[in-house]
Amino acid sequence: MTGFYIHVPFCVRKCVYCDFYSLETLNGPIPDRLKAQPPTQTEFLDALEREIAGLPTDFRPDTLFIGGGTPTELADADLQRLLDLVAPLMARGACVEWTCESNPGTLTAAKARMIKDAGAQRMSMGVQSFDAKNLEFLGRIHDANDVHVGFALLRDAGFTNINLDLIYGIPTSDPDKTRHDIEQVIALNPEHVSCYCLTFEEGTPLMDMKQRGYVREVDGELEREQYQLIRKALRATGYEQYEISNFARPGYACRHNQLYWGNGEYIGCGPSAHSHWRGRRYANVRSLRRYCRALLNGESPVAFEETLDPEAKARETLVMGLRRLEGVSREAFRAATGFDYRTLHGDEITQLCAIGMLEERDDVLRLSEDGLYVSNAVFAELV
Amino acid sequence: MSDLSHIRNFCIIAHIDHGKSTLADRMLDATQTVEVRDRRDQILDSMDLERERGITIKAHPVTMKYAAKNGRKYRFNLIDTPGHVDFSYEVSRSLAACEGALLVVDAAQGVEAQTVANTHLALEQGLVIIPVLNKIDLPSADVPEVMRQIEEVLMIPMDECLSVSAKTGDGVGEVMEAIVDQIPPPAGEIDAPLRALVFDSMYDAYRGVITYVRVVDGTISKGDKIRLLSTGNDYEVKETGIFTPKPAALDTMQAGDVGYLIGNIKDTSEINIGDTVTKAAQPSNAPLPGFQQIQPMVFSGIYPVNTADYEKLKASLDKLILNDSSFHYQAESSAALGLGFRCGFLGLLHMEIIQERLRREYDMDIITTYPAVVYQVYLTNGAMIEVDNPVHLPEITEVDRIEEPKVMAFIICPNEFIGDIMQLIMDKRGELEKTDTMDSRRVMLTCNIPLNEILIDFHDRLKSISRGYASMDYEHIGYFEEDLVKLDILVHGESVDAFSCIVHREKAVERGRQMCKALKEVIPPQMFAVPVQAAIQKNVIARETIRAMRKDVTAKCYGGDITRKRKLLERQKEGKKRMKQVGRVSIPQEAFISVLKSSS
Repeated sequence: MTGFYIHVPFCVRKCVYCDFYSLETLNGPIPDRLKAQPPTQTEFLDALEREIAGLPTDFRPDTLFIGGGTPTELADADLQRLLDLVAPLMARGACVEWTCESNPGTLTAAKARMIKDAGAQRMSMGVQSFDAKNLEFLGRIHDANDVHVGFALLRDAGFTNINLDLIYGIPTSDPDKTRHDIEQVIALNPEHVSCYCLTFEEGTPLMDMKQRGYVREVDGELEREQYQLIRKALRATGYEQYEISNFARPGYACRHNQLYWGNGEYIGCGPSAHSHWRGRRYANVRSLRRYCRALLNGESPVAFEETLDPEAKARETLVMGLRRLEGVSREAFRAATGFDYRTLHGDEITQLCAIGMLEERDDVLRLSEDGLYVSNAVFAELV
Repeated sequence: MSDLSHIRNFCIIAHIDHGKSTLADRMLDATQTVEVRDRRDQILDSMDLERERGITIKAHPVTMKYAAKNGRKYRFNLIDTPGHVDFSYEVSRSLAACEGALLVVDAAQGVEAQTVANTHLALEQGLVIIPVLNKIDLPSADVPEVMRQIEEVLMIPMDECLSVSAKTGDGVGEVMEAIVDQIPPPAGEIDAPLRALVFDSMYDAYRGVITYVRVVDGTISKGDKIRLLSTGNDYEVKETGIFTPKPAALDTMQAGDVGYLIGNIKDTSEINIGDTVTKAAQPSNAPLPGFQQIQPMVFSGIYPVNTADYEKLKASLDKLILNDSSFHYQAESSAALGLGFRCGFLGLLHMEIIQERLRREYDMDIITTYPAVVYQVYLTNGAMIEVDNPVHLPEITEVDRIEEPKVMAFIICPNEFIGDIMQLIMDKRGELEKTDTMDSRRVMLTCNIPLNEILIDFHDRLKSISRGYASMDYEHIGYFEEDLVKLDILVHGESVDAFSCIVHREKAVERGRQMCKALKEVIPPQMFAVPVQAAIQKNVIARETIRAMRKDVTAKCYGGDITRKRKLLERQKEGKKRMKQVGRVSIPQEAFISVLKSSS
């Protein structure tokens, strides 16, 4: 399996917690608006066209994920052009899964239809919360009603595989709001649910607010309670948790994301997009201007790359693999990396099993129920 | 035999801020010892720290020429001495170099604690004491009342009283005359074999060690071969002289003189304060009385904050000790703090001064551990060992008894705070010996109290209880047996050496609780619950539990940026590596610092 990712670097407005690369199209800060105008969406698509044209000829993607940013922020004509750019690539492989992200605030019936017609089978919609206070705090541009309307649009367009994103651990939230959020999600009956804990990332307005003392991170105990509540509610209604943050109806686990956790190959296009291709990890420049300039000058937009030694790569594979609840099979790991995970981390694994963070049964290593809550601390022992 | 009747050797004793330095300044003015261009306040206190804190750390002798009303010319040798109990041995040697003392008391404040302690020292040396009431120009000065206090509390008869204002200079002339009339001249013999008392020393980067001496018998000249009786080491005198207050060379010093000698002495550790200097050719076989090896009373660890600065810290300590041989150090390593030094100090002030000088003069970032006293541990086999680090306490089965140092403390405070201060004394295991009425508003509480108990926050609490009005000083009174135990701190069942301490059994629970609580605050949650316990011989007396980490999950892994995810995890792992592993528990360096540091 091989994956293809497109990064659309535009949003109507940036959410306070988001540290993905994107430019605001609505009302950036005045100094930015006074500066030279950033490349337009047309210029982005011109550059993207060049990047796609230069992809390896043996690159035959089976999955596609159009993310960002906000793909549905593009004007109809631009969106159509984007879809037309990627469609020939998808014709090369099996095209088992084609996902497009959307924001309830920018999704229209026309766009949903356009995406469906291009060949996408799966839509992802950023809901984050149904509570007005939470949405306002996060800086979302939509309200709860937009989510209901948008979801109906997607169903009407014929999508039978829809993911909803939810965020918990919001400072303005509480267990009742979380319960309400998950009940609302379940009522919509999507095929897939991703639940993320709000993370305070360096360089985001959220982190700035924290450092200035305007907000505090939610206490770990409360976060755990919310996470538990969400897991319980989803399991009770037939969703299967297959990864730390991901839940799906049987058969609907996201194939594209599994490539990330399974050390699979993928190529990303667009500014800041990451690739893992033929043993090399690399990423495009995190600036639309420089991305466009490089491609229009016939240069590479790659700004970072690394090739890990086999052992480091194996450790990374172990840690990423453990994100999946099915765990890591000792045999499959050895076959994929050439290493026995017990040789890499025997003492740590024994320790972590002894304190009940990991479980090893029938030569499969997986996070325990307790380990799930503190997976970062567990992974930090193994990386 | 030459005439010594024109010499007067004396010192000034006073409580802080009662005007000792100002009176000395006035005497220097009156005798025109210091040229106008060199004049400044507190002229004898040469170190920045001394001037800032208004205290005297080193002895500062000065020789003055005084023309008395009787028409004769006198040579006054004033030895300005430290007043703090930490330096009481040095003070006693400076006093031993004198025949008399001016006891300066602030006429508005009255007798304070340091006045009491230093007067006791002066009386022990058999000095003639001339009480001087200072600051009589203040409207609140109450001369009869303070006179009564000096008579009743200090037991010094007040036939007549000298009243001065060192600030205005009023009455200073009478003080000069009293020095001539009341203080006896030195009683040494110039023709006898040389005996000179070493009362201080300092290190000069260009000239080497400058030894401060009072010549008791005989003479000492440039070129003499001298011997120090306590070490038996011989040296050649390269220079002798007197202090004006700057060192001024003089070919010969003779009995009765106070001055300095410079020889081929490399560092101050070769010089013992209280030692006797004699001549190598015809040595005196009678050392001057009162010599003791100085023993540190308080120990504390000093560690570089940055472990890479260990060598720099060592070099700084090496330099400091050149100037202060009363301070001791030896390398030690702490499981928690890495490589550092176990340092011995004469007392708390001395400790603070050394730490402050390391920070200021040597620009060192240091961590200092909880100060401790030296315990005398008597073993079942009859031997006695001195223990300055709880880690070195032998197994309890080998210990017969433990003795700890105690002090006699004098606390002078306004009446309304007596209750609270007595409570503080009791909290600190002190016993009240007596209560003296100082005046209508103040009392003096005399109590014996373990030195260990006044090391940490006693003085601060005393000041806060009394809103700054209480004063305290103390004298060492020796070692006494107490029910002392070693308190261990266990983290997840493992004893952490750096946190062990010796405490009184009755205080163990309280201390144990404090330590556990403090550690609970600073040790981050682990993946499992961690008990923090205080124990005496494995019996747990206090416990806290650090709850397991509740949640540590990162969210998105979109866009395939695996590298960033891995780097975040690697950073988390690095952070953990920098922590100290105690069994399975990771304790950050800051946790050790915040629990061990003395100023917490």
